[in-house]
Parts: sequence; C-alpha cells; structure tokens
Amino acid sequence: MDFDFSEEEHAFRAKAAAYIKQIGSKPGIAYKPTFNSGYADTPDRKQFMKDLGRGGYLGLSWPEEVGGKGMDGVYDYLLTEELAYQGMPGSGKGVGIIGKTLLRRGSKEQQERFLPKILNAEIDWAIGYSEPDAGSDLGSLKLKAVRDGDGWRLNGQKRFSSSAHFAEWYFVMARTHPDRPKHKGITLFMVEMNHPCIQVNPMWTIDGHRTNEVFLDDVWIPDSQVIGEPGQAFYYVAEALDFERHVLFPLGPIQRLSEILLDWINTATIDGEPVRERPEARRLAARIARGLEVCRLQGLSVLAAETPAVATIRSSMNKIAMSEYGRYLADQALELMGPGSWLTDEDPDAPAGGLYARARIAVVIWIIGAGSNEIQRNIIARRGLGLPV
Amino acid sequence: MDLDYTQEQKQLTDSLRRMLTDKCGTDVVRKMEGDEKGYPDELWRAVTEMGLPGLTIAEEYGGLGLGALELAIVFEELGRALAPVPLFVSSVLSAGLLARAGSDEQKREWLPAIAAGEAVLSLAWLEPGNSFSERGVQLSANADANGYRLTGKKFMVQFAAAVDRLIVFVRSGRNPTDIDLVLVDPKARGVSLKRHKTMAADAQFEVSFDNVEVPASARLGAIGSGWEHWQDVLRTGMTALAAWGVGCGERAMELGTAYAKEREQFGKPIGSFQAIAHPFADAATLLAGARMITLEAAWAQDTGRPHKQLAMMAHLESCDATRVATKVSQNAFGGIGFTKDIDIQLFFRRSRQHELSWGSAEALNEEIGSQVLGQLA
Repeated sequence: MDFDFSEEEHAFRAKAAAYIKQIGSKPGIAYKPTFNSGYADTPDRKQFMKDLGRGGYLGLSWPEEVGGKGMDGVYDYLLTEELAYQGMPGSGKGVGIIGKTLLRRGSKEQQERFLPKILNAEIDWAIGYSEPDAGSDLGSLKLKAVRDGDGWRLNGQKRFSSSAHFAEWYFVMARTHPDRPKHKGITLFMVEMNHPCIQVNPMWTIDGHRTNEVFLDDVWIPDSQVIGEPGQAFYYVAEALDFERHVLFPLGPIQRLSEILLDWINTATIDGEPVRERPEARRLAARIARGLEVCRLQGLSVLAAETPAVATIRSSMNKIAMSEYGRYLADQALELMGPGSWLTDEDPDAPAGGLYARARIAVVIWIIGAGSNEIQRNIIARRGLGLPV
Repeated sequence: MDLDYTQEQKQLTDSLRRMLTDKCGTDVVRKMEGDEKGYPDELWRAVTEMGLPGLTIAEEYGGLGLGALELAIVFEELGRALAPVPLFVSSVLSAGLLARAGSDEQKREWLPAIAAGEAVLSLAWLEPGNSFSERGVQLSANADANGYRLTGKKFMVQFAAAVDRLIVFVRSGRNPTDIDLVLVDPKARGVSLKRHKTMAADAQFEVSFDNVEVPASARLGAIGSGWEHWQDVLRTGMTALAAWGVGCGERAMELGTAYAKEREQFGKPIGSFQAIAHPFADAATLLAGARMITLEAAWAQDTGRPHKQLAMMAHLESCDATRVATKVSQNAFGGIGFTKDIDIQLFFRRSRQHELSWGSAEALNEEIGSQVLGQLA
C-alpha cells in the first residue's frame, strides 16, 4: 500500500509546474482559482496550448507510434492536476475525448490526418452531443443524418457546444438509423466548424462564460469523416465519457478555493476580532481540510482502479464528491463572510476577491454537467450496487 | 502509488472473514445483547487462535508486531460482523497505554497476557454528567505518596464484568490535565458494577468506587501525564474505529441493497425507484471515501508519517458515512426492518452508538481545525 507518488512522478509534476508557470504568465490566460477557468478564446490561450505541446505535454499517454509519449495514465493525471491548480486551461478535448476516441475507434487515415494536428495544438474542437430535447437522455437525440452519396446530410440543432465559436472542428453525434432502437441508431461525425451550412449562436451562462447553439442546415459530411461504425456512436461516446469524466473534475479549483478560504479564516477579522478565534470557524477549517483530502482520495481511487468497469464507478463517485463538496465550500464561505459576501468578483469591496460568490454560481455546472449528479447516482446504483434502477 | 493490499493482507482479510462468518453470525451478536460478560468464549478462542489480541503488540511481548494497516483490516472485518469482542478497549487502547506509558514491569505483567488472549483490560474514563474532555475526569483520587483512594463513579465502562484490570482515569490535581491512569482490579474491595442498558445492548457498566485503595505502583506513567498519553493512544486508535465503521456500513449496505432487489411494491423491486437507489449511491460514495482516508491514515502511521490528524479525520468521515449507510439501509427495509427479527437494526443501532462513543464530533473538529489553522504559514 502506498499513497504517495514515486520520485519520478513527483519530479514530473515539479517540472511541469515550472514550465506551466513560465508559459502561463500572460494576460490573456486569466487566472481564476475557481471552476470553469479554461474557456477563454484568446490568442494567448491558443499560444499557451501550442507551448504546452512544444514542451511535450500533449498526448502523454498516447501510443508512441502515433506521436504520443506512451506514458502511464498517472502522468495525464499529474498534468491535469497541475494545470487545474494553476488555473490554466486543461490539456483539452483534443488529446482527451477526441484523440482517444480516434485512437480507439478511428480509421488509420483519420488518425494520420488528425492526431498530429492535435498534438501540435493546431485544432480546437467543439463537441455536439446535447440538444434542446436531449440532455440527460442523450440517446433520444434528433439531429438527423440522411444517407447522401458517399456521405451523409445533417439537419438539426445542437445545444451547449461550448467551444463552437472558436473551434476548427466539430465532433458531433447524429441519428443515422431511425428504424433501429434509439441507442443503436447514432453515428459520430467530424466536420469543419467553418462549414457554410453551420451557424453558431451564443448563449451566455450565469458564470459569465459563453456556450452556443449550433444549427446544421443541410451539412454534407463524407464517409471519411465518420468515426467507427455507423449506429454505434452512443457506446463510443459513453465509453469516452466514462474514461474522461474525471479529467473534467480535477482537484485544482477545489484545492485553491479551500486553501484561500483557510487563509481567509486564519487572517480575517469580523467586528474587529479574528475569525480564527471562533469555534465554528475552527470546526469549518477542519471540515474543509477533511473534505479536500477525501476529494483528493476519490480522484486517486479513479487512477488506482484495477479495471475500466471499476474506474467508471469511481469516476462517478469522484464527480459527486467534488461537485457537492465544492458547493458546500462556497456556501460555507458565503455564510461566514457575512455582509458583502454576495458582491461579485468585479466589485473591489468583495471579501476574498469575490471568489466564493463566483464559485457558488460556477459550481452549478459541476453538479448538472457531464452527466448530472442524478445520472451519476444511477450509474453507481446500477453498475456499482446492481440495483435495477 | 499502489492502493492494493499485499498477498498477506488479502489472506488476513479472507481468513478472518471466514472465521467470523462461521463463529460470529448475527445469532451470536443477538445472543450477546444483555449478556453480562459481553463476549462469547468460543468466539474469543477463535480470535485468540488467530493472534488478534496481540496483533499490534510488539513481538518481544508475545504479539505479532503488525502495523496499522493490518489493524485496519481486522477492524473492518470486526465491523462487518459486529463482533462482540473487547479487542478495541483491551488490545488497542489498554495495550497502547501500557506500551506508551507503562513501566517495564507493568508491560511484562500485562502485554504478553493480553497478546495471548488470557487477560482482558478496559478503560474507566467517562463520568455521569461530564463531557469527553479532560474536565470530565473528576473522580477524586486522594493521592498521596503511597497511592490513591478512589471514591466516585465511572460509567460506560466496556466489558467491566469480564476484565482483569480497569485503567481508571483519576484527577490528580486542579489543572484540567492533571490526570493519572491507574490499574484497578474490578474485583477489589469497594468496587461495584452495574450493567447499563445501551442502544446496542452491549456490555457497558457503571463502576462505583468506595474508598478503593490503589498503590502508586499501579499508576501508568508519571504523575499528571495520563491525559497526554490518552490523547495520543485514542487518536491513533481512531484509525481502527474508522475501519470498524466502514465495515459496519458496508455490510449494512449489502443487506439493504439485497433487500431492495427482492422486495417488490408497485409491481417492481423497490430498488428500481430512484428514491431508494439514489440514497444508496450516495452512501456508497461516502463509504468509498471513508475507506480511502482510513487506509491512508493507517499507511501514514506504518510509514512513520504524521498520522494522528488523518486518524481523527478518518474517524469523523467514517462516522458520517456509516451513519448514512446504516440509515439508508435501515429505511429500505420499511416496516419489517423496524422489528427485532430483521438483522439490519443490529447495524443501525450499533453504528449510531459507535459514533457517539469516542468524543464529540464538534470537539474533534475544533481540535483538528485549530491544528489546520496553526499549520498555515
């Protein structure tokens, strides 16, 4: 039994930390130690991703034959955690969901065409899964794809494609076989975002980020841009989400918010008296330290899972633990700070820089996104406990 | 990073689980409810044969000299089986105090006997109307150079009718932590016992002392050092408590989810309703986290790392997780679960009592919080 990382692993993280700090010190990569910090579409962020690639940090666990480093998944974890801790964008959907799906399910030609560009951070990806009528029930999606020559013609709409306004390529699921059972009639496509028949409209979220509705109007996609077998995409996507979910929920923001709150408790005064003298503040400090450590261990347990089936269940547990502890943390901070706690981070009088007002709003997407916590509970109940829910 | 057990640790888990399944079914647990001695001889023999009473006692005293991870493994299994045995108060706490504070003579007198399962010790710590803190120890000791004369009452003393000695916490001075730990024979003149009625119906006693004479040689450690020794031993022992809780919670979940799969209402198993399934999922998540922090605390202790804060956190996390797990499992049984016939109530009652028994969560959180804040730059 060993809860510590090896010397090599510690050294890797230290080296990555120094490199990320160096390439990340530019104005356009705003550091916000809170949730959802990496969505900025700026030249600085694009450059950051290229620099990350140049440093050899993209495709760590990809096979060497396709230009990856062939390293163990623990290095993906360490990199993800360091990026998140420093409030930097994550290594991205390219090396994650999309790249790994191409590695598992893509053709050789698709791998040759896309993987090198992903490793060089030349492509930003958007994902087209959800629709107005298909959220948790993704299998009921309606974007239609009809056979047309050596390809398919797509018509319909996607929602919450968050990177669609700056991505170069779209990774999109559509219904190709309406006659089959709903989970067996979906196909995965890749298409250029600047396709003339694709329209992207913004939606603004309450935590100040942009997401998008995407309209596809007679978009023709050749067979060469279909991933894997037509009709099987629901399983590809479910599998990819199972493998990548934990990457979406790193400890970093939780850790920073916990550290900052502990520091605030330790140094702030209320009515001229130190907050740290209050018994309830000390008890809260204990709960923060414990909650943070349990979240960290939930993440480690995903990494340590002996089989993908076990990793999936632990990944769902990790997501619930992280998101609900994050919400608790924000709630406790807001309560403790008293008057002014509801000032936003744009107000100079906000205590603790308004981080917790922002965090409380931002954490909602951690609860409802990437498979809402209710869906995660279904996964744990079914696959972990064998309940017929 | 490697979170797997070694082969030996897996074997320990398997063989102990097999033994407890054989010798400690819930019929045995039920039989011990209300029993004066509180633990059955046959089970104690089997426990002794496996070396458990001396698991973490040093080999030089006849123990197995194993570590915190093995102790956690054992206590997780004991929790699963709700085994009515005095291992925690005797082999963990009493032996721990002896090892830490005892004189060579005291160690040689008691540790080998404890390890061999021949002697059982317990603690007389808590007092009626008083708290878990050092201020709760008020039993007057009338200490002089020769020894003590004890007058007063202790309560919540586990297995008092069966033990060879009680380690009694007595007040030795007016500073809150002026506390001495003295070995007292419960059969000595002036000591009387009265069995409590507890939520778990386990063997806990009120112990009255009427001018009981105790020689100075019966004291563990230096005058006034008792509380500090106790804090250390109890906090370290919390890893075992945490493991017990996890085992209890996990077994409760097995019973609860099994029932939810077979019990049908509204035309289907009740486990197919999210209102039943989702609380189970939450309990499973909490238990998984509690198990991890418990193992981390044990590993930290075994590898010479700071571990007491982790042990306390593990205990609190385990209490939270097990409270939820036993609650959800108990509730899943509905009306029939509320009767004595169904086993789930054994887990629920013991889990709830366990949480209450070793310190208030508020006080523990305050202690941890002060440490955490103190550790900040």
